Amino acid sequence: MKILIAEDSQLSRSVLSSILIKYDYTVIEAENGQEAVDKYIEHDPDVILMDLMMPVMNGYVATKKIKELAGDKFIPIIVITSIVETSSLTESVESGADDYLNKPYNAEAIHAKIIALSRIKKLHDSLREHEEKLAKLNKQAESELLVAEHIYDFVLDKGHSGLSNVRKYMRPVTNFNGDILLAAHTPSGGFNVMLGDFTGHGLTAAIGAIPASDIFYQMTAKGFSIGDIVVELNQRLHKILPQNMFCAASFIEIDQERTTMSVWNGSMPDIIVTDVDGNLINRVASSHAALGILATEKFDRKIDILSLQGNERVYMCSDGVLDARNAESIKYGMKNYLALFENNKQVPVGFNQIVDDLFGFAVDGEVNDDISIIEVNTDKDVDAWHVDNKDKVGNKRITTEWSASISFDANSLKQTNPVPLLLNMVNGINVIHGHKERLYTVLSEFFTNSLDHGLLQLDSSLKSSPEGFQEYFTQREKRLNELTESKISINMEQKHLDGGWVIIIHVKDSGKGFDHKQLRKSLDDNAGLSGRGIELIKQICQTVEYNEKGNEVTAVYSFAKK
Amino acid sequence: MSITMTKDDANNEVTIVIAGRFDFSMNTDFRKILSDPDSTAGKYVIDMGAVEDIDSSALGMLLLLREKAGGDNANIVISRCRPDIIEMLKMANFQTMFKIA
Repeated sequence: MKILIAEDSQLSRSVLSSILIKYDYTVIEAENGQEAVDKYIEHDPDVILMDLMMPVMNGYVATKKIKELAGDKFIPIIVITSIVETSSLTESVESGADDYLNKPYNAEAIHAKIIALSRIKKLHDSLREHEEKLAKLNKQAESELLVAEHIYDFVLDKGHSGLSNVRKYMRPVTNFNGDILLAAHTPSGGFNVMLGDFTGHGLTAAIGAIPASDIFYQMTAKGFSIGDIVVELNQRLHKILPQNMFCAASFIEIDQERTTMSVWNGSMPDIIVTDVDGNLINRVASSHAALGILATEKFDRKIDILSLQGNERVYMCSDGVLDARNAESIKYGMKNYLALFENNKQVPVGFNQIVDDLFGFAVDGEVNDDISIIEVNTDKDVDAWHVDNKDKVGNKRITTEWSASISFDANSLKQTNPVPLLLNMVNGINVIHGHKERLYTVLSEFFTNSLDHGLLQLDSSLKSSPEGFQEYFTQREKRLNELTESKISINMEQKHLDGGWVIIIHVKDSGKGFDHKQLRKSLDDNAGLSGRGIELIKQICQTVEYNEKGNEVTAVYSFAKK
Repeated sequence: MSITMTKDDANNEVTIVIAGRFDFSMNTDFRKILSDPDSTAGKYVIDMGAVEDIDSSALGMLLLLREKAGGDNANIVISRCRPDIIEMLKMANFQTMFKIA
């Protein structure tokens, strides 16, 4: 440890010096204040012993100068005084001195003071080091946030800005949102909306948001259905995000005619559909894991299809809405959110009321998470894009006529589900992006009806209770195993009809036929145990006709109207 | 707010008891348990009886545990959750990845 002694008396210096050397300190000597300042700069000592009365520059001035030079750095200065000089103590402390020593020198006292002060210096130094580190980290975090914010703004900007039928309220908890809203039209005039909620905020969220938005916009522009998009997004996010991070997301896809809406909800609050007056018509709860958790083979792309009139409002929100707390720390929760849409309300609920109600509730409370509330209007007339592009829709695609038939005997029915196969075939023949999920629904429904009711003669009323549901599948497995001499034929034909394009789907089974009228359940049963029902198929298709016996059905699916 | 782990060597079973708000503030302690060689077992029980609230980082931590416990083959029971927490776990579809008892 280096000690600087500033003392004009040769004798005093030698005495002090020899004491310090005895304690193994390195000693630097200065004969006056100016020299002390110079040697401080030159040697950077750990402690300074400073006499007050010196020629050229006195101890007060030198102390002041050295303290100024040291800035934030702590350099302990001990002034040396005689008893008679005690009145000058205040002045020396005001100049910046940290402690004092009385003459004549006492070796023990000097040593003790040096130890005590160097301990304080150490503390001061490590504090300063931490502060510097923290300041540096803060600065770094700030600049990273700025980058992330830029990325987010850029990513989000190209999305919904042009969509007149989407309203949004997005309030981030930090500088910017971990929630993302992506929305775009499909080439055929429908549109896709995704509301995503990444774990975390800042850069971590942005890492996933960039590829997510690219995939969403590119695939939507190419006409892929949301089923295809969620699979791709999940795969990419599964690959790039750490295991403990994911993106909860809800998707809706509304077709160009506003007759059906496909929904995929992965770990987001219920998606709400209301009529034009704000009455609840439907809600779709989460039935999937968030994006990025499951490997592709475990991932479930199953979507719900709801029918539309073309005058609904669809509400999506992030779980920050449910997590908002009031002054008593009670959560807003799904209950309050759903209560907004209760049908006996005097005043119909709209976008503004939802936002007002939430913040009215949480007015004295806390909001810990990003909050997003989205309203999508299914009315074509408020969709500026649709109005502008009406004439272009459907004319760009080069479409060809084709037909394909495939039939399955008892053996192959036991082994395969032909529907995905059929669909892949269709995709291979002709690009009908954006219609895949709907065709899948139609084909699945017909095929299931033919197999379960036509060939296996199962009673669908069994499915009205959970126990019966189980029984239904036990029976199904048993009868399927015993099945012989049966056949299901599927024929699909794509052709030009009345200036537009249609796919005609014909499904026939070798069974006795079944009471298809029984199957015409209303869409209210959609969320029940009995599946989607023929009524939904009628919403998706232009026409659906069963023969009298009930073993043959023909549906016309129109995908490019004039 | 606490998190404790006990191991039943005879049954090769680890029990993790979590109390209070299960959120990002538990991240360090939870990861410490995950990296503890003692926390390797054939079966896991997460006792959430005293958990008041969970957030998405808690879900992330559970996923980390699931990965450690063998991913799709993991045997993890999440037990004694309050109804509102079960609701949140179900919203995240965790009943397909964990046993919720």
